[in-house]
Amino acid sequence: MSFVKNTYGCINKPYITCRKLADDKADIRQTVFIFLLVLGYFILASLLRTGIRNPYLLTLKFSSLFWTAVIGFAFMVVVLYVLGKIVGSKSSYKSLVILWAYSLLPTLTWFAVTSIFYIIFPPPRTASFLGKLYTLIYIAFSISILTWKLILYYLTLRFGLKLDLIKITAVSLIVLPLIIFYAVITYKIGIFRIPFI
Amino acid sequence: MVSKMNEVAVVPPQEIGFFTPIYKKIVPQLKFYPWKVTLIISSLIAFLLYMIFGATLVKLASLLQYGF
Repeated sequence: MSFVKNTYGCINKPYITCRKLADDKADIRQTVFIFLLVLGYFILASLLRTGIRNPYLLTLKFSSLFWTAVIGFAFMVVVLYVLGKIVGSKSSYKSLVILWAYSLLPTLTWFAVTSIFYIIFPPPRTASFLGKLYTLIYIAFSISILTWKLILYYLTLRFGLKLDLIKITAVSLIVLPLIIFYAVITYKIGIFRIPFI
Repeated sequence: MVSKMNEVAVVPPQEIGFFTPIYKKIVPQLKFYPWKVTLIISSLIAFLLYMIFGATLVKLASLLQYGF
């Protein structure tokens, strides 16, 4: 129940919700639901990419997506935790894990909507009126989701690591090249074209 | 009062010198129902990007659609 409440809160009242999630009393078990949703999404994405004709390829695709996302999640949490400690954070590992898990909601939303729209309106888009209209709506949607992600990222560092804006900026300047590096690696080995972070 | 004091104890209010008044004006818009502001601004940015880049934005949308 707290998962549903906090998910609603992350959408409508992110500041208050993230503050509560950073509390020591917050239950880490609620993140299981987020990981189950991620798992569900990867099953869908694997089906869309490889189909059901070849179960071996399907399993291989699912495993590569899932484990790369798990490594990406762990990598981000460790990097943020270490950098936070370097700049003087007095945070707990637990609150960082909970907050970063909730910050996967925008990622999951974008990937799920993109996948579903891939089926309904298969790319490429054309320069027709409908193509342009779709582009405008889709780009606006993508920017909105990115903004939501950035809000949750900021609040993760603010409450999870208890940093001020200057320190958050400093940490972000180091994190950003690492995310780009992770994105390039996952792109080169053909797992994610857009990083699942 | 006590809960407010506890909140301040967790993270002190954000001060960024000269920019503090601007920060205090922008942040409340994002604390509650941020999608109201972000949807409007995102739509404006998308429209602006289309005005600047034209058909290239259509290609970007196609690329992003393959991105999952």
